[in-house]
Amino acid sequence: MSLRDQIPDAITAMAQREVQRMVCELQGVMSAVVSTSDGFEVASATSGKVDAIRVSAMSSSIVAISNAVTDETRLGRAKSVVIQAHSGFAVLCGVPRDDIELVVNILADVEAVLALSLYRASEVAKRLAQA
Amino acid sequence: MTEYKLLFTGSVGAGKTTAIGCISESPPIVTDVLNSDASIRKARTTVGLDFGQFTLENGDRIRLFGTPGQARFDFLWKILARNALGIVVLVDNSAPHPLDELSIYMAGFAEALQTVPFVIGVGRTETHPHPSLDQYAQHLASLGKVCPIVNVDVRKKEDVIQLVDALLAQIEVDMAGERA
Repeated sequence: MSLRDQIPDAITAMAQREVQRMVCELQGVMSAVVSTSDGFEVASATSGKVDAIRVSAMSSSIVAISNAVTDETRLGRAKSVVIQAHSGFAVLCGVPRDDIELVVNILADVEAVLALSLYRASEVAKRLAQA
Repeated sequence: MTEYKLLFTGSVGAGKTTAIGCISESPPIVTDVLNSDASIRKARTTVGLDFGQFTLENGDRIRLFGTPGQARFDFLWKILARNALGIVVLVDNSAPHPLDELSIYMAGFAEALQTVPFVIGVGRTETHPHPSLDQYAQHLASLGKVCPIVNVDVRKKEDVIQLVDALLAQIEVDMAGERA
């Protein structure tokens, strides 16, 4: 049985509910994805323009590189990464768990509010970590 | 002092992270995480990049970058290959279809390999002697490529150094050709 298979069903269901809520409730959010730390999709809600499989892989790389940066500089574990772009932004949060580490990722356009998205992603990450 | 960027790529489990860690003068930067893929018999896997460095006797510095092996991270392959002076492709001869795996990296780095020298390191040949190095050479030739192909145990520093030396020799020949 793979590590992925060991993700409790309750966690997967929770992740799916949370990504759905983020896309529905946050203006400008194009997609919300929860993935494993090695790049596999666990749950996703997208507007259709976003490939959740690719996003899952990229998110895991970004969070892993971020952790390498904070380890190197002794800043402690990376909590979140924000990528600001011309037409929107991406927010990524690591989810430390004992069984399998996850990543929460939000992709949003210019209509979205960065602080709100960061807050929601962080809250979802905290709930998934504690569940 | 010249600085060389060398890229280590190749199949999952072939030993890219181990090879860089083996010869790096300082603790390498690694981005290993728990592996959740049951088809791969490894506890951890690289999802970002590896980085190490060492200094040659003449003072030249070698910067070593390692890629993740899985194709889902191929977006990183192009990024990490930028400005690489040479590429090491590591293959695990104990894998079910090592020649097919080699083809994946030949295709994945096709653009870079048009101009960048490369070498192939084949691991675990002492326990898995087939395919032979000759078969690797024939397979490469069928892809229109020629390069040094060596056996390597990435846990042994002297083996990895030998692989890097072979690549540096290729790079020097390449540079000499450009200067001529």
